[in-house]
Amino acid sequence: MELFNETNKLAAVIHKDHTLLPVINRLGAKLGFGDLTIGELCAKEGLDMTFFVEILNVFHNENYFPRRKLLDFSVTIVIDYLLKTHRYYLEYVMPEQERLIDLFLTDCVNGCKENELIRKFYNTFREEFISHVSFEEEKVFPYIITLNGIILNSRRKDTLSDQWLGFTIKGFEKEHGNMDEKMFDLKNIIIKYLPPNYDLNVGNSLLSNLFMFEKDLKNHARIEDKILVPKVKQLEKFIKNDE
Amino acid sequence: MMNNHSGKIIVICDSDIILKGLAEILTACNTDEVILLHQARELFDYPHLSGYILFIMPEDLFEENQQLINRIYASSLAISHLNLNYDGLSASRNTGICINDSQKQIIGKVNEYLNAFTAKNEHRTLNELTRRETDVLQLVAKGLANKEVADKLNISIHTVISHRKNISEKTGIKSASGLTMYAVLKKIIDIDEITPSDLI
Repeated sequence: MELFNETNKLAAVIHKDHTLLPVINRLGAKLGFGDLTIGELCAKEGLDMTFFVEILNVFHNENYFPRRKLLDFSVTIVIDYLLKTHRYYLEYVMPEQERLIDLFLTDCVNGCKENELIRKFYNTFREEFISHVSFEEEKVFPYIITLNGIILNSRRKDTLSDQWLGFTIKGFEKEHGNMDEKMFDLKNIIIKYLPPNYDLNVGNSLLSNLFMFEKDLKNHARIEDKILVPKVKQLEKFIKNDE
Repeated sequence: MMNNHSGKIIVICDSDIILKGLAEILTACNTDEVILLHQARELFDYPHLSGYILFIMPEDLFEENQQLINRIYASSLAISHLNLNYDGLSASRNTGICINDSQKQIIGKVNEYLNAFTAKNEHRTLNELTRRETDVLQLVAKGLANKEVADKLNISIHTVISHRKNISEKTGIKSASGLTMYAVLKKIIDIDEITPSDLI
């Protein structure tokens, strides 16, 4: 397993794995960084270097999980990263997929009935995804930030307003659907079963996009499940013991 | 889906030198069991073998005992024969293995036969749903929950879940809505039988 560290030049990292491009953007880095190492770039841009390196590694190696190290981060930095990821999905990835799906459908030659199915599947997926994201942004993240605030100011539990009564991260864990599974299905349907009544180049662009998105979603879910949820459980336990 | 179910090898040969030598070489092959016999009638001691069976034995001996082998191993998934030649000519003729072959040649040849089993198996399991699986898929694709499928087909919910697992393994499609798309594309259900809201 290849692991990156702060002495690596970021340009070399990107040459090795270009799927990291959106990741470094979300972490606050922009291209044009010349020969700067990750450490130098983070110092220059005021970014948390350890977090930067760990997220790159989590993304680059599917089996890598530095449980202990990542649990040391403040929840706010994790949430900030997750929010940026959501924006990236909603404002860039999904509109681009819709554009490609539209192209895909207009190019279909004889009877688009089957291709229409793809659009329906995608639309339902999108709706589900949007509601998942809004739930996180409107409920889960504010809850976590509130918990964190209480601990930082060492206030007691009674300052946790009624709004959050009975809300636990455990409930959210169940809510957390497997969105990447649907992406996988969509890919496989196009690869294996959909009759190729469409422009092949558009089909390939759409597929590449879906592959990228599926990978990104998987990692996003891993960061939520393996970093955020355990971290919040820690906070909840802390507050409970303080009662 | 990967199928790790590799075949068993039965070597029949009256020479201990050849048997022991082959046994040594075959440990490097993709097999889960190697059985060494001197004579075909010893097969009666191994009546319960199932799965894939590769026989390594001289051609004439195999032909002589083919009926016996088919009878004893009627319930196996597939049987194959690799010729074992005692002369030095076979390598060039490319049929079976011969005692002058190198270890590498023998392993290559045996694995080729063993992999052919698995390839056949993958082909079958990947492409064909059983009748019952198709029944289940039809109902799942129309949006029925596992419990409803169980009631409708008069089977237990555990059976439905096990069918669904197999369907997903064979088709490569995991979600219920993905299976609906699959069922329409494969004409297992008609597109008019579903409403867009079923695609959830």
